[in-house]
Amino acid sequence: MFRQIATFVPATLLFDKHPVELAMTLEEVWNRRVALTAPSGHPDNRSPLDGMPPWMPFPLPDPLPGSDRAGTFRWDHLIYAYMVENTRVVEVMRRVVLEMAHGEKLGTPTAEAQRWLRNTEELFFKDGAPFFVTSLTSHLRPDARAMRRNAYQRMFGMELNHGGDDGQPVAYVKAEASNREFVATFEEFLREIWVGMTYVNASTTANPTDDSKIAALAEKLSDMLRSRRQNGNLAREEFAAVAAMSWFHLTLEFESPIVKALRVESTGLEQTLFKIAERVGLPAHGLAKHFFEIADPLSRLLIQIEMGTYNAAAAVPALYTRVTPAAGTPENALRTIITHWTAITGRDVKSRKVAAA
Amino acid sequence: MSRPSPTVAAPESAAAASSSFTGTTAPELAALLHSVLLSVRNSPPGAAAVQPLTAEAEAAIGQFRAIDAVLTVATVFAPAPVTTP
Repeated sequence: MFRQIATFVPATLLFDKHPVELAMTLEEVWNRRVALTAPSGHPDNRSPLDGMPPWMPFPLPDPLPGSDRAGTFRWDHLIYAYMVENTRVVEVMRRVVLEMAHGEKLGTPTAEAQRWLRNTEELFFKDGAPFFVTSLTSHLRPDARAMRRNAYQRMFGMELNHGGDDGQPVAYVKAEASNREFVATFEEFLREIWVGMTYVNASTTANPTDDSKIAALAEKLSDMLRSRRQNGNLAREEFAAVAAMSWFHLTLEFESPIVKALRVESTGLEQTLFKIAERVGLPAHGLAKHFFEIADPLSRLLIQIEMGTYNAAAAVPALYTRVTPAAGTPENALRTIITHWTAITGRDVKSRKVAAA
Repeated sequence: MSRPSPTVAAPESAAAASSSFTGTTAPELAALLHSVLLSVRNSPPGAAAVQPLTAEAEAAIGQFRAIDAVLTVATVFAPAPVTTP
């Protein structure tokens, strides 16, 4: 989300903004959902809830595309937040803010870094101001980390690969209704797509690609994801998680004030994360590169699956047929997803399932 | 003791020496193989096998591109404003 906003306003200005301006920008993003007439929970209209009313003060100049609050905005799928959080970036950045707030072990922050620290603490490590869409922590759910874990468990049946800063598991409420079959279904989906990619050019052998099966798996995934989103359920949790992860992602991707202040500039954002992790004495996940790489394409694919685009077998060839230009196509995204999913999970979705005789 | 030098009878002709059971001669087989190999070489890989995309698949690609365009982050960030002294 912040990464998209940074394409319209300089990231340096974004990091320099007052926290209330950033919070109001998020409200405006929420209010500019793609189609407010779409059913609640649909990727074009995640929730029936309103953000701040239009007469509230808004940052000027408008940091969002479009003028007069006319442009629409889409944000990433919850899977994006799940993948980025698995890098352990939140815990590492939490340690940075903690060290900077309590001493000078990491040096004295520059003026720009102080603004970044203030924004980060205000927006993501503090109970939000009342009435904001992203202010989710309360007396009932005081820990934002536990809240995100609850959302991941409900939507994907998956847990994060790490615990808290102290290495202990983070306690959270596990919901009874969760998509426990998401991983198995998604891997079967990827496996069938890979068969399609393998045989798309075949001319001398029988083609085992099964478009109908892929469509059935896509529909199953669509149904289970949309079931968790009925009437806009989990929308605010997704929005808050995506906003937080995109802030930290942008911090690493861009030579942000804190990266400069810590003098950890590197080639590759995972290398920057590793350097920061080393400075604060809290290791990041060794597969961070794969988590960062898979986050974007997987987010786009699941948004489209939730739209029900591939529930029809006739649309399925788009998933495995290469077209020109390849950039920005589902086939290209799926190649990236298959590669990094295999690396992350250790399960090779390129191999066929062995059936018992 | 000297070994007798092998004597190889020269074929009367290549065609007569290696005709197949169907009666096709070696030059004919060679010509056939040549034409097959040439046709394989001249056709782009997989060009004949890829089915044209359906209208639904084309629409799905267009939709994905639209989502990607909205969510894709710029590799080059927006430039910082120029401040004049």
